Formats: sequence, structure tokens, C-alpha cells
Amino acid sequence: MPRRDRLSDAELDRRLRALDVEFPKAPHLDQAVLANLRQPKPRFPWRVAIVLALLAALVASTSVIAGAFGIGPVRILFEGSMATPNGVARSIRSTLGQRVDIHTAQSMVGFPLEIPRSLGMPDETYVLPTGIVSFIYHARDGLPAIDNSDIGLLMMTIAGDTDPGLIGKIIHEGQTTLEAVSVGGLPGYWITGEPHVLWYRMPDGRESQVQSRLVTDSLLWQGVGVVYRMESAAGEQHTIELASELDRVP
Amino acid sequence: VEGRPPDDVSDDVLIRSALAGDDEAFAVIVRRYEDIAFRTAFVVLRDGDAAADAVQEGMVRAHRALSRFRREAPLKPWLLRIIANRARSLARQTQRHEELALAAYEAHPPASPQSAEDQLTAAEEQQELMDAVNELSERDRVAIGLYYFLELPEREIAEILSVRLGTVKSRLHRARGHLRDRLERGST
Repeated sequence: MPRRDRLSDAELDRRLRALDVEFPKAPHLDQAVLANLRQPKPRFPWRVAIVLALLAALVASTSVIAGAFGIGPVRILFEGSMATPNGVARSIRSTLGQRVDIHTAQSMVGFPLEIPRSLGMPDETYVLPTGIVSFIYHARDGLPAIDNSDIGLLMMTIAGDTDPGLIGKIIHEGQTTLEAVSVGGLPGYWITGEPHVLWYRMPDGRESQVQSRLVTDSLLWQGVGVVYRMESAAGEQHTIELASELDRVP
Repeated sequence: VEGRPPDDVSDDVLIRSALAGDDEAFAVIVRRYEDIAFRTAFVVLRDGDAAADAVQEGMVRAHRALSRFRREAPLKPWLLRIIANRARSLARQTQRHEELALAAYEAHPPASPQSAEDQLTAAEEQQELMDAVNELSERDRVAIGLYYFLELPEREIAEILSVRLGTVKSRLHRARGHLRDRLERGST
């Protein structure tokens, strides 16, 4: 078939604008949404979760409580209607451990630290005695502020064993939704809704927890010998894109 | 309906009412944006039933997240971002999107033989362009759909897709290049 003349930008633009796409008529969904909003919420799982969360606060970090859902060494425990504390975005830093520079953090943990290539070096780095490394990226174009804070993205790297048998579930539970996603071919969850607690098994076999502090969505995925977690208000797709481009810290 | 807020109330008033527990106020928001929300979901899913599911589920999620909405910002892009995310999740779950296609309306009946010939040519060109759009990657097709078919500004598309403005521009540029190549080659 002979090749045709190349369309000019203006002509292609004109033809695209003139394209009369056949959209079906939008259904009226207000009553269906109303009915959904007025459905009684399941009580039992949330009561159990609240009790477990309270127990967790009492028994500290060596607890052996494990939730039903998880990825790798991490179990996810939902807090239900337990709201996160006031001022959480400001106080989040106090829960992340010692502030260090990223190269010091690298020397303190036994796994290679990785950062999203397009974001570059983090604005702040923290290390917990349990070996969890947290990076904070300040809010900027493409990284909207989380919960009215100055934080645009919080990334945690958690060392631990893997348990692939728990991967691949899609669970809808009350107001929190876990969606199974792929992060550069690695299994993960996109978690939206209420704050939650992550239980994880440390390399020495003990179990510990990380409490979700920021009121936003998070992505949890499994790496090699580590589990990553990103809290971000940038949306599912952009967060997964950032997670898919991890590079070793130079 | 008694007790239902009138449809001309501002988004901000409706949001405040919904946050205070007035579900009917949120129903007005749903009615106000369901058409553009449905079209946004349809551009992603290319299936009317699935798009309706995405809008319904997305609106419920938006209601739950309403307390996190920054009220100085416009509501529409925030709502459409939630709907688009839900639509993309459904697209991944159903795995049916390769079988589906956007379609263009057929041309109106011709007024004369000459115009009939012109109209046939125009209809063929339109179908060829529609086919080319359907062959784009999902990312590029959605960018084209939101920009040209829903006539949304690039900055709003960036917000809906949770990407930078430059990313939207580059996706549109890349998509136009693919379309131009495809049209140059003709039907295969």
C-alpha cells in the first residue's frame, strides 16, 4: 500500500477534535451511591481489629499477634474507626527513629538502600533500631502534600523474610481496601482507606509493628529480602511508577 | 424531594453538608459530576457497564475520603482522579480491555450524491482515526481521550492522572506521533 502524505499537526489536531466519539448515555447513579452509603457497615471485624490494636499498644514491639492479611514478612492489621492522633503529620518524624544522612543509614543496615530514580536523594533519612529506614521527600510538583503536612512522600524499607504464599489476595474489608498490584513485576498491595498497622517478622525471627501515621493511601510491595512501603497522596498510578524505578543509592 | 438540597448550591456548601452527615447533599454532587465521571471511566474502560461500576464505586470512595479533600481546591479533578483510579483498577482486574473499543457516531444521511461521496470519505477517515486511537497504549489513549474527547485542560488531566503536567504533554505528543504514523501507513 502506498504511503500517504504525513498529516500536519494542525490537521491531526482538527481531525481529533472533530471525532464524534459515541459515549453511552451516563446512567443516574445518585440513588445507587446513596444506597451504598446507607448500608450498615460490618461491625465484627472492626471490633476485633480495635481490640487487637489496643492489645498491640500494650504488648509493645515483640508481640506475636499476626493479622490475616499480609505480604512477605508483613501482616496488616486495620484499626477501623480509631483515628490517627492529631497533628500526626508533624509528629510522624518522631516515630521514624534517628535522623541520619543516607550514607550513614546505609552503613547501619545490612541491605542495599534504594531510592526512586526520578526523585533522587531524599530530603530526610531516618533509621529505627529495628533496622527500618525511612525516607521523606518534601511536597513538590507531582508530590502533593500529605494531610496538610510538608511531606510529599514517605518511603520505608523494612528488612525481613519473605512468605510468597500470602501474596495475590484482593481483600475488601470495611472502609479499607487492599488491591493486589504489580510493582515492576513484584507483588504488592495498594491500600486505601483507614490507617492500619503493619506487623512484620524481623530477620532474627521476632515480630514487630509499624503503625500507619499519615492519613493517606499507601503502597506495600515485596523486594528481595525487604519489604517496601510508600505513603503518598500522588495517586495509585504515580506511586506505582515511582516504586517501579528504584535504584541503588549512589 | 423534601429535604434534598437544590441542585444550584455550590460544591463547597454541599461538601460541608455531606461532611455533617447529609447524604442527600452528596447525592447532588454525584448528579452534578456523573456525566463527566462516566465519560472519564469510559475512556479508560471502553465498556458502559464497567464504567458505571467504576463511577459508583469511585463516588462511594470519594464520600469516604471527603474529609481529606482540600476545600480550597476544585472538586472536579479530585473526583475524577478517584474515578479514573477505580476505572484503571477495574481494567486490570477484568483483563477485557483489549476486546473493547471506542467508537465514533455514524454520519448523518447525505443530502445529495456529491455530498454522499464526501461523507463516505469523511466517515472512512473518521473510522480510520478511531481505529488508530484504539490501537494506542492505555496511557496514551486515555491522555488523548481526556484532552480531545472530554476537552479537559492539560493541567486538569495531570491532576486526574496523578502525573506531572510535562508527563501529560509528552504522552499527548507521543500519542499524536503514533497516530500520524498509523494514518500514514494506512489500514493494515
